[in-house]
Amino acid sequence: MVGEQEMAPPKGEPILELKDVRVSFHTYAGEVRALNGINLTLYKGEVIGLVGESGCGKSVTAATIVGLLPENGEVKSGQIIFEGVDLLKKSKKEIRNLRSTKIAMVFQDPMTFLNPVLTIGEQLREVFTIDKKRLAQAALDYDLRRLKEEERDARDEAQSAKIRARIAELEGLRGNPPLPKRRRRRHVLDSLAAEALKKMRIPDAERIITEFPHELSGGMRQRVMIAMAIARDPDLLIADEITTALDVTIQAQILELLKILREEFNSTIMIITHDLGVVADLCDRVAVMYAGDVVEFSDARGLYQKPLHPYTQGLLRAVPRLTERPTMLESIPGSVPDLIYPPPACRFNPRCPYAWDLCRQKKPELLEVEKGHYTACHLYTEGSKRPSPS
Amino acid sequence: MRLYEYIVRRSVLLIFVLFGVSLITFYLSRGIPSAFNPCAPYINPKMTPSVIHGICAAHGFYQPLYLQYFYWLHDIFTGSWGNTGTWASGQPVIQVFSQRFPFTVELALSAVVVTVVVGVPLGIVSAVRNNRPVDHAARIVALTGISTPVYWFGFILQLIFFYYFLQWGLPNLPNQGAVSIGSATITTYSGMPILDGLLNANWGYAWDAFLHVILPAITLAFASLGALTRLVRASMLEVLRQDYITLARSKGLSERVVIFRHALRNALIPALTVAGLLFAGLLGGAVITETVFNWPGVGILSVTAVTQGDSNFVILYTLITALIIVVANLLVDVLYAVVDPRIRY
Repeated sequence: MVGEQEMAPPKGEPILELKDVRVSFHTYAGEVRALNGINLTLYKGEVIGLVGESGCGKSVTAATIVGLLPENGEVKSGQIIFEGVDLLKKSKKEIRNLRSTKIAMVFQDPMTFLNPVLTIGEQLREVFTIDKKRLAQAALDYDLRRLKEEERDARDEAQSAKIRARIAELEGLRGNPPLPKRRRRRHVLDSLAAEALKKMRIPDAERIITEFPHELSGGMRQRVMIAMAIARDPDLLIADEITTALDVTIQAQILELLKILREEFNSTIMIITHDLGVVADLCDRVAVMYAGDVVEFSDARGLYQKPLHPYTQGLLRAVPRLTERPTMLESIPGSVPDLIYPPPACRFNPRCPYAWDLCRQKKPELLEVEKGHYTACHLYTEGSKRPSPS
Repeated sequence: MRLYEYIVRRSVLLIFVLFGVSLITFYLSRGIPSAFNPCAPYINPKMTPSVIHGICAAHGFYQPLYLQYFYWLHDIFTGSWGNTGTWASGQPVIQVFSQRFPFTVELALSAVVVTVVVGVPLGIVSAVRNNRPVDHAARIVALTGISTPVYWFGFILQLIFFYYFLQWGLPNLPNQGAVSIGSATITTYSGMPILDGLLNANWGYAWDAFLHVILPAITLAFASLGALTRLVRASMLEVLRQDYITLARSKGLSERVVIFRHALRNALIPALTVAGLLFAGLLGGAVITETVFNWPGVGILSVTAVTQGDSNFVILYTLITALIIVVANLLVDVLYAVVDPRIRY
């Protein structure tokens, strides 16, 4: 097991730590062991990528963190430590509060993840209504902004003095601002929603608020969904395959947007994807998952320059290159294992070109093989004992 | 296309539908051999044979059947719907119908209210508490509703709430008729006793009429209530599995907001179809309930009319029912557009 003191922190404090998290799904066919004891540490302000093919447990990891596993899912063991507290020990209500303030998630398909019968505004506004304190604060700011505008346009000195007095009065409320009511509340919420959309570089935000999801394009819908997540100003943003359902040009726009947001907003982002290009483009560090295990975890540069785990090596070989003469596409032989009856020990062993007896007997641990570069493979610890292929 | 254009277009189609229905009903009711002479309602014993002959000729009863339809159509457009047979003492069909029909409407409306008010919440609770005791209880109620014969259920209700309650000295519910025998006569506006009682500001009368409608309404509603509960449950379960529900939960919204704001509106769209056609269906399905509770509605009359072969009454009854079904359908379609913004006409 990796002690966290051994992990050279790239920057800041750890914000999220997953320790030996095991998750199973109960199905009629049997127990699906979707997460097989994964360990991950995220540091404040970094962008981390979670890659792997479909069904390797990336999305389950995200759902486990935010406490939104489907009903048949169960966290068997482990700890998820977010800002020093174990999330798995918290009540449902506490987790829900956390979702409304600190951990936000953006999902894959903007087509199906927005409610078809509610306007964009209705769906955006409710994000701001949950945190009462922040809403009251925003209402105060909204009033102050309007008053300042009024002051600028004031006809004479007397009127502007009156407005200044009102501003001073409102400033006095800063410690404990009152909650806005009815119409004012609606105005405040609308302005917050429009502002959130403008941050996503959405033109004509005031009109978009009144529209329904089906009236927007896919890219626009994805921006709306990101806006909902960012609007909460979360400490951790989880982006689950957010470019998968979009076509290539829109993908590029959304990635560009993510890059800008990353600069502006300086929170921790977890990007879940099967697109290695997205990872190379955006992430500081990358965790490669295979069949419910993290098999390699490294800074992005190290991973691409020197992939250690045989699975990662195969994955990178499978990426077609434009600079080379077209040849047959490389692929990893075999297919993703059945997680009801997973292969023993190292789950990659049936497909691994280097596997030997040990790989079928003992599960390799995620160990730091090079500085800041972890992998779970016997090749790097017991490799010398491997019988030479005859 | 704008909504009102759509309504106008559908209303034009309505005319054709009614023509079709009248055509089919006319040939079915007149074409079937019966002991009932279609001319009988138009004549009386005091007429001389030559007068009778003249009347029958005027209404086209000596013409072949396919031509008789046009004579009938001519009568309709000149405002003559004909008389009933001797089974309803030969009164004009329109008069008999309009006296009795409001009672059926009142019963059907009450049943719709019971169905929706009980069925929808039951379906929601059943879906949200999926596979827990509440769900099982709701499903048992629904299944019982669907599979219980109306006449049996009606009699059981009467037995308990009328007979046993009387025996035990409890305030019991009436089991016969739409108002108590011997109630004061009041001015008739709508023909529906509860509404008329209210319009006359005669609260005692309205309350009495309300007590009378409880048992028949529950009886009539029970089956459709079961069906609606199951439908709402199924569609709610389906909606709760949707991605946008996951997103709503990921926003940290409370479960109450997720269900009532995000799920319910989507889940009620399919239920709307059923609820809309419910009223029309209950109007026609009230026959047994009316018989069991001796309800002075139009149901018993229409059965008598069919067995007697009285085509005038059957045609009127069928046309009105068809009209209500078509209008209810139109209403449902319009409501769709209100509930679901993706639908535009």
